[in-house]
Amino acid sequence: MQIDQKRDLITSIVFFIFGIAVIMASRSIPAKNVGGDIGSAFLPELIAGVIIFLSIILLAKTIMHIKNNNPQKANKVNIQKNTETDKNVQGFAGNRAVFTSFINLCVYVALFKPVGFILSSILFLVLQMGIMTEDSKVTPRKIVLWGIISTVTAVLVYLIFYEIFSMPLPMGILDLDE
Amino acid sequence: MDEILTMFNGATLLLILLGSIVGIVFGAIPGLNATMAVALCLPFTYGMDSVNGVSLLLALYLGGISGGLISAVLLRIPGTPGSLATVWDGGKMAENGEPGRALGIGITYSFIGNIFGIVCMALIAPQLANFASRFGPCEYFALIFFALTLISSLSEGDMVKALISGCAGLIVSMVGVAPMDNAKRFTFDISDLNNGFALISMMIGFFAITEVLDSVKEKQAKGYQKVTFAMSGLGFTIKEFVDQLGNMLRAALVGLGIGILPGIGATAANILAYVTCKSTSKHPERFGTGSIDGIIASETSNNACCGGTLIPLIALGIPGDAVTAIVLGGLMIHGIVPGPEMFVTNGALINDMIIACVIASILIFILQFFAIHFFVKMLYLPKSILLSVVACLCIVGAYANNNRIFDIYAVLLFGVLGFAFRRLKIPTAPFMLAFILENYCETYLRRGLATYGSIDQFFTRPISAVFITVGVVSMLYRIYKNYKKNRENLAV
Repeated sequence: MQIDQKRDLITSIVFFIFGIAVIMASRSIPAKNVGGDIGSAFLPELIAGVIIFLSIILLAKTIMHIKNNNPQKANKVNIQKNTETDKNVQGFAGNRAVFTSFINLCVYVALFKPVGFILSSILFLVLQMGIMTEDSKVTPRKIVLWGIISTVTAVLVYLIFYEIFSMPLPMGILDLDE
Repeated sequence: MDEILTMFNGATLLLILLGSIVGIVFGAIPGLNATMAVALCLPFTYGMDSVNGVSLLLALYLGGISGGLISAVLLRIPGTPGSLATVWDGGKMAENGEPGRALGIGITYSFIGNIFGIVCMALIAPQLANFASRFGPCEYFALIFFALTLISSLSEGDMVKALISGCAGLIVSMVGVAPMDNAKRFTFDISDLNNGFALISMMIGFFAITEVLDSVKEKQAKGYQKVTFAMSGLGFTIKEFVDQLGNMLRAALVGLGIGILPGIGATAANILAYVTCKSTSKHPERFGTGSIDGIIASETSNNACCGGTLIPLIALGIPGDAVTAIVLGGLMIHGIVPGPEMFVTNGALINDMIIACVIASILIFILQFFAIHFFVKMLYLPKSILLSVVACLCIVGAYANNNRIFDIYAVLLFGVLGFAFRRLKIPTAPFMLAFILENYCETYLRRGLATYGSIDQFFTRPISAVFITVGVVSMLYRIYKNYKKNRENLAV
């Protein structure tokens, strides 16, 4: 199976399930139709129906594409598949870095309020710069540089928001008034 | 002439210059936008006279909308929602090694869009406002329905996936309290979901977070690409300018048209102009590949929309979007009540406003043009530092928009969604267009039905009937064309 067909297959199945989930969730929307109004549940149900219909079309189309692959085409596909596999192998490290970045973002967002903007931002920035660093080598000199950049950025942003925009960002554990 | 001389006093000019600079900075930083710039600077205008106060607010507004293109081009993250569509071609052109050229084109056509909107405001404001006042719920619904049918032209190959993406955008936008009856939809008893997802969260998640995650993957795959600076003159030739006249005019008219209709604004204008220009272009395949056509469509329209939104404000006293609502507040603080009578009672102030807009547009053009080299130098910073700082600013921007932690959770959610869409090759543009327009569409549909009691009015009122018919016919035509193309591909 070609990588594009795999993508389409996943898309159709995911959105089919999504459509059904939306229809089920729409059942709990209270109906308060006024005059000729259609109520709040009508449009979500209609659109969910359209999503299910479109996913079935996409699924049928993908299955047809898979079936239509004759041996000659399949040979071509195999070559492409191998190339894709190579790419996937190469991209494995990329996926790991993407996952680490995402976890770093999640931690940042989770710490934003309790720990405060300044500390959580410094932590996030240092880690993210480490993940994204150009030559993938982390040296003590680089860590110091990232630390300085992160601290200056976080403090500067905080001061701009606090002093100029009169919009204090969460201080978290640094808030000595609480 | 007297008004022009009045405006050219040192204090007013300085305020316009300051407003333009602050506006550009707010526009350029993802998460901050023109509305915030105007809202935060409004208190400073209390002590000024009306001309100075209004001039400052207008400069902030125009600067805020224009500045959005800088990050849209250089970082592929729109600075403001009004520059969303600029990413698709401006960002691509920068990626293709021409960031200076992309900025030059964007800045010039932003200026042209601004001037177009201001000229229309100066010459035909009352007529345009009267036309806009004929729009009832049926006409609004029909116009937005027409815009939604354009989703089919935003497909990047597979129309079914584009339509699925659009429908998903509609559903996600429905989360929260429904229009008309305030019924809660898909909130699952989470109170933060009652207000739905903020546009800014969707935009930052889809662009900024996806960009960071993609960059990480790109770096692992092939290392970061070197940036080159290539640009001469304004970034385009005279021949290109002449060739693009039709495209520019279409974009300006769409921007102006959306602007004069209260409640829609520059976000919808730039996407609508982009899809309209794409679907009417002789070379639709060029859109999304880093073409001049796409940048012109987006940047001309969002700035033409600024002039457009000021028209109902001045002529009818109705603000076109959130920014003009704050400008309206600023006018009222100075005892000026916009509306038809303003032309009689405060005619001189209207002229001052027009001149302030022209001066601000010229200053914004000059400031941005001479700063291009500086902007592009930003890209010479190590991507690891630049994108990490941008991600941090985006999270702060999303938080500061409503002071809600929930909005930054939503950023993450949309970031994952955007990343998954890219991996599954599902076009994101239809999702965004649908997300932006759903609320208007449903509100006007249900308001129309509640007002008239039946659906007949949507098909019997002339403006409404035309938009619905053109929308349905053009969508069916595009589906047929796509079907034919698929069959031909299958046969080959």
